[in-house]
Amino acid sequence: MTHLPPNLTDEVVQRAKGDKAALGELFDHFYPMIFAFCMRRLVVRAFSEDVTSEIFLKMVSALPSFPGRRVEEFRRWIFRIATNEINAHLRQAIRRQELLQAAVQLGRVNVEQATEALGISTELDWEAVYKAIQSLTTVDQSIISLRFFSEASHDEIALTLDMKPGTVRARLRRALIKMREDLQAEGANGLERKSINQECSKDVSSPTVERDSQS
Amino acid sequence: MTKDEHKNWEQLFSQLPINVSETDRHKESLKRELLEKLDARPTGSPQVSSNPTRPKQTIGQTLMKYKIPHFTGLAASLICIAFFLQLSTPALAIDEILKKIVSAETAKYKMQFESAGGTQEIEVLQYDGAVREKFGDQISIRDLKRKKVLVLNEKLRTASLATIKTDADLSKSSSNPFESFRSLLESEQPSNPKMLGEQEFDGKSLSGFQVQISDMTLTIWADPKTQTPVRIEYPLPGYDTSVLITGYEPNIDIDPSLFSLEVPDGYELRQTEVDAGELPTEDDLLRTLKLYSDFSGKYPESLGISGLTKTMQSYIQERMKDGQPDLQELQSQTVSFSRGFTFTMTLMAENDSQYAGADAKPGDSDTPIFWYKPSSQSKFRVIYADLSIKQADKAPQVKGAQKVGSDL
Repeated sequence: MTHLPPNLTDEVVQRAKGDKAALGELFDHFYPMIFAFCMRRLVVRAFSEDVTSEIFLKMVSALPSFPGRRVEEFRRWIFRIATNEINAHLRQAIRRQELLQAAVQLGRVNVEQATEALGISTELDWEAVYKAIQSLTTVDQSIISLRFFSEASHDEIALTLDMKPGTVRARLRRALIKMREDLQAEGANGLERKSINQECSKDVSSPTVERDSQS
Repeated sequence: MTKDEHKNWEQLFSQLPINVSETDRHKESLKRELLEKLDARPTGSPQVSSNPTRPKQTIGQTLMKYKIPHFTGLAASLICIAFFLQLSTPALAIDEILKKIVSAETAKYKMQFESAGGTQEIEVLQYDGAVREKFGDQISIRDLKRKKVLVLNEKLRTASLATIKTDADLSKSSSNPFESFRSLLESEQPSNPKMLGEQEFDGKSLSGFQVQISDMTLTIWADPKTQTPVRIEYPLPGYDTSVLITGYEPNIDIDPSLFSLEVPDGYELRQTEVDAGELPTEDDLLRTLKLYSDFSGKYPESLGISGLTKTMQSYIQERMKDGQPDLQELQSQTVSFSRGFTFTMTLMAENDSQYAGADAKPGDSDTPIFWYKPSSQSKFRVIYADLSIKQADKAPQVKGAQKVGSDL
């Protein structure tokens, strides 16, 4: 996982159980990466803020019983909480639908990237990408999210999800193959999708998404 | 999937057009809340602080976590420890002991169910949220994170691997009643301790204490030197059953391979899928009662766990002697069995549910054996010994009827 604060020490993690300053320091360092993880996974800012709040509140509740002492252990632990909270949020069908509605507003995938990753040159929307993620099992969604939304390595994912690294590799591989197949099929129906998306994007009740102006 | 292909995916996701920068408003507000929460945490309380975002669970809700089938019928043991609710300030020594239960990453113990129907003892290993239970010739490995239940019969060399069909994330679900107990302790804090002094168990001197929880008394015996809980006792009101955890050893070294979901060489494998999405209903109870009476020629003495599981285990063993039993059918029956029993646990005091099947003759259309008043309804649903159902304005008056339900 990238974004690891370079100046966060193990001692801060150990003190955070009862020291406000240390807890504040821990929060300052981890908040941006957890929030970004939620945003990439949930797309909608309001939902991402709610889930981020829930993650940190759960973290501080459980912190006294957190058995680790090192920053690395804490990072894996909070990402595990985050993964569970995001999965819990998306357990409701209405939430998944809201995510897809919001993803409509993200528009098209860069054609060049789509071609390289998926071997297709037709138009593809981000909505389709999120739909392909949603079609995976919860565990595979977690692996994909940790790998591509928090840039965790296979070993880090394995430790975060309590799985063997080999299992993570195998599941990631299978999940990506399935996503590619789903997206290739989606790309083949590009024109139809385009029509549907245009209709959906007119829906004023769709959650608001802030697009990254730099992208 | 080559490295290049993987890199292509990375590049694709790196193009995700989402603004992930945080707002100071949310960040600062959340930070304040966290720091206030740290301040508000009481000193001297167990290191298992309650979670304000998590509402108190009813026993029925808790039981719903146990929809996972136990091939041996041990799903009936779904019940236990759910009574650790609505407690307040604990004493320090107790805090320390309870903390060891909550924070244990691994554990070894024996879980015993005692009722009028007999006693059942299960040897349990806990590792990383999964449990491995040994019960006679049978070994059950339940790994809810992976939504798998593997049951091995060492004598018959058979294996049953069930995949739980649900979209729900089961990683937070409890794999057995003691895991549920740990989960509840994480959000609730026991109170009103009473010290019991020292007593010898299996040649070892232990210090005991009790805490009163609603109308139930929990007793824990711990090693006074290490403050480690060793023996935990509690009754299950309304189910003539008590639970005894003995030989509790937290945080011991356990070989992870014991929790492998790989079927050992030489075992005949049957795989099934189990739908865990539906809540148990009255129909499930009817199936349970039918299964029991078809096998034993009578209805259970009570709805106590031990008698029921013992009967179910005998049933399974008899079926296994048939040579080539239909394991899928057998598993389906055990699922029905456990779900029916679980249904009774979802009933609350307001449902005024009672059981009176002990002396009833199966097929008798005049003898009520179970009744309850569904929530928000004025009439009782009465199940008779022929398993017919009638509605009644009042609860039947049957001598010896036992109250059942989750909050008695």
